[in-house]
Amino acid sequence: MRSLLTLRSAILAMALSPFSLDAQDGKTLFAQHCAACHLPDRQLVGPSLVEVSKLYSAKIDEFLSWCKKPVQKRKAVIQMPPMGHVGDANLKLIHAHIVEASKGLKEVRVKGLDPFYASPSMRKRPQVQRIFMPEAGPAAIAVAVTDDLHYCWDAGECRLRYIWQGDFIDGWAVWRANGNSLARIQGEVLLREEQNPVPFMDLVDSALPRPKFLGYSLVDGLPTFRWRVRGYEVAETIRPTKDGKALTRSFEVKGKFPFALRFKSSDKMSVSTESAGLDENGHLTITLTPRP
Amino acid sequence: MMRPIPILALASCLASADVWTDTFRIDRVALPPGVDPQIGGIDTTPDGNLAMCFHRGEIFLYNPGADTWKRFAEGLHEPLGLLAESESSFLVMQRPELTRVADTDGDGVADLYETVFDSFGMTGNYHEFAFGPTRDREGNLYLSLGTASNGAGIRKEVRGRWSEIGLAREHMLNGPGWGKARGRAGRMYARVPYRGWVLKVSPDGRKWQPFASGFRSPEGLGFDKDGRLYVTDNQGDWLGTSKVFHVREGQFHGHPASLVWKEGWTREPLKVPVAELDKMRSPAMGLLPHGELANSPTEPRMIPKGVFGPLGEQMLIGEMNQSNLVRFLPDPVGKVSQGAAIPFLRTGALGRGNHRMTFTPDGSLWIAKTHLSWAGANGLVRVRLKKDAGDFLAIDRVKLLDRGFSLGFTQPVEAGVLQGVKVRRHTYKYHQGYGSPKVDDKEVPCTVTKVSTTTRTCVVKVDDLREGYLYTISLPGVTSTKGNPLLGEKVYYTLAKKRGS
Repeated sequence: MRSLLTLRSAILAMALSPFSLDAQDGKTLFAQHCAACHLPDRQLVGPSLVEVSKLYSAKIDEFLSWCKKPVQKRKAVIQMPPMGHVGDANLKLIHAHIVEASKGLKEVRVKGLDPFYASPSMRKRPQVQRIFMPEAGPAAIAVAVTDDLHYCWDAGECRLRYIWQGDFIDGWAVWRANGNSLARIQGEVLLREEQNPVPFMDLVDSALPRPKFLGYSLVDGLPTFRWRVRGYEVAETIRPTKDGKALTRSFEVKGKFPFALRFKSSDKMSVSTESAGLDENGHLTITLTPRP
Repeated sequence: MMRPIPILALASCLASADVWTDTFRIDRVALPPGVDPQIGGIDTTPDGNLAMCFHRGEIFLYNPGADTWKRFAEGLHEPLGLLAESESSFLVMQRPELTRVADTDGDGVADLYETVFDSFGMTGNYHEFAFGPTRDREGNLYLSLGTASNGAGIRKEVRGRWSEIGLAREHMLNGPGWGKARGRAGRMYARVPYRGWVLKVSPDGRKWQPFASGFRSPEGLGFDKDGRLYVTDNQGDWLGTSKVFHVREGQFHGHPASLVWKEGWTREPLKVPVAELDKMRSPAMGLLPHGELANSPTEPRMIPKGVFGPLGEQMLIGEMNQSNLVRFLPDPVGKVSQGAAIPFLRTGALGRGNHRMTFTPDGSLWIAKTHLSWAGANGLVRVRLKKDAGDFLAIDRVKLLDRGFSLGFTQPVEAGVLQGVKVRRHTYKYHQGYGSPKVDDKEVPCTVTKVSTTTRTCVVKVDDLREGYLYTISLPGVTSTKGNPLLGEKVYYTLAKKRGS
């Protein structure tokens, strides 16, 4: 399963990488337009090439009309987007490639693959998903900021736990049963945060204050988390930078908060400042950039 | 294509043999594509639409008239209950918290996920489900918290205070040592607050109180027309069979794990003598016999007035493992709540997994199904009384007498059809073990007297009445004077207290 998911990430990456526009052979066209969802010998988002070939190898006209006007066939997955823009000539080249590439292959029935992996709410970007997450408290929230950058926020502790790069989560182990498992992150952790950057623990008093989680609101699908500690209400939002390659992290604290916020870079992610005070409006934004 | 006729003939033959589907129409409703089809919660909005939350955290709105679905929200953590506040605001009980999910900018999609209440603990154990909410007349909210199962340990990080009462925390952790330690953890445990409790939360979520304790896996809560709070619990350790409780403030209902969160409590619950626990506990309003009527009861929901004919304002209780619901008729004796449970919609057409229920103004009952990998099902089922069903026969009143039971029918019944009535009684063990065999199970002599077609009642005279027993009254082959069959041929009466005792 793990290897398949790695393969899936590889294919997605391949599908997203630039191709020269004049390369009009079937294989390249397939990689460009189809490979993100179709594997040679097993179902991914869409059916395998083995299955497509079985249905359409001798029916090129039906293949063309399906590609241009697909309908929903499988409950668990999204409908294929119409492919009319590719053009009949290119679709015919893709058809030939499918027939060729599936020759001699047999359908592999995949066990353990989330049948709803590709459902709309699972592939939405940004996506917010509460689920049992590794290396966090039990009230964790996973957020896909972009296709590539994700983070885990802990609603029990009211703080960011880690940021990772790659694919989002595989929650099948949790969802297939009663929750006796954890979701897996499908990528590499770039940064872990060991404590809340808002240093409420520094406020001298006998009892350690516990932050109170207030919930979140969504703007363009991205959450702003709110919590309260000692009368200070804090809002935190993580957004993608304009080019989508890094993240910005904004704080807003209501009340005159007297301390600087503290951040730490890691060997895989740099933060634009390690210590910073809030401006007169109680605002602060930093940038988190994956190191090359 | 070859032989459609015999198959159709068989189907129609089966249909006419099913007394339930002769009276009730049961339909499955198609769900939107791409959604994991286990439904955790359902409620009717003020406009008569349905709101549902799903296994992976989506909320969908369904317009039953137009048969259209609209995606409203996403990303909740195993939501198992939903209460509609309006067309655009919903209270949802998810694993970690009670959340208000609302559309505040009017675009038809939720943008606010406001934490209403999360002052309870989580160890990360899978069995720590959160159920509810239900609401009383003053708007207070009630929710219930499942205990953890020793099918797994706890996670390194927990939310909430840790109770030191019981096995040391390092032995409670998931991992290679758990297999050896689990036997000492208790079959179900409650080491963070307030697992195994019902909590009462003020309408704004700011004030709350631990309300009642002694629950194992209290899957559903609901109020009846007289304001009784019903809470179900699931057969297992300390529960010989599944139960429905009438929950009142301060009561303890028998599962001891939750006691570690009782104010001033310091003892290891598993070391308290059973006789002492037995004295502390408030008995069940209804014992639901395991394997016969219910294995995993779910949400109590009242049938609205005027719906399902004479059954309006009676309580239904969902059931996960059997293809039936339970109809419950309370019959309090003094301050002790008890009463009769009767199978409802006991037909394969209903199926299992009956988890949450709601009614729409057109008189439809909507049943949301789930399984969470146990016995159950998924999807949405709609139940309607058939327009041509006519006057169906059911028992709508059950009353304990000094010597026996008075039964009331929705239609006149003559003495001749009541000759097959039989009564058995049994009880269950109250012990740490898992479930219980039937104890002291035997048929007791009974006679049917005072059959009146005017008051539509009869008396089943039984001399051998004992407190703490479940009396099963079987009424095979009973029909009304018009020839309609009896819907629900068994009455399970929980006798906690005798009249005049």
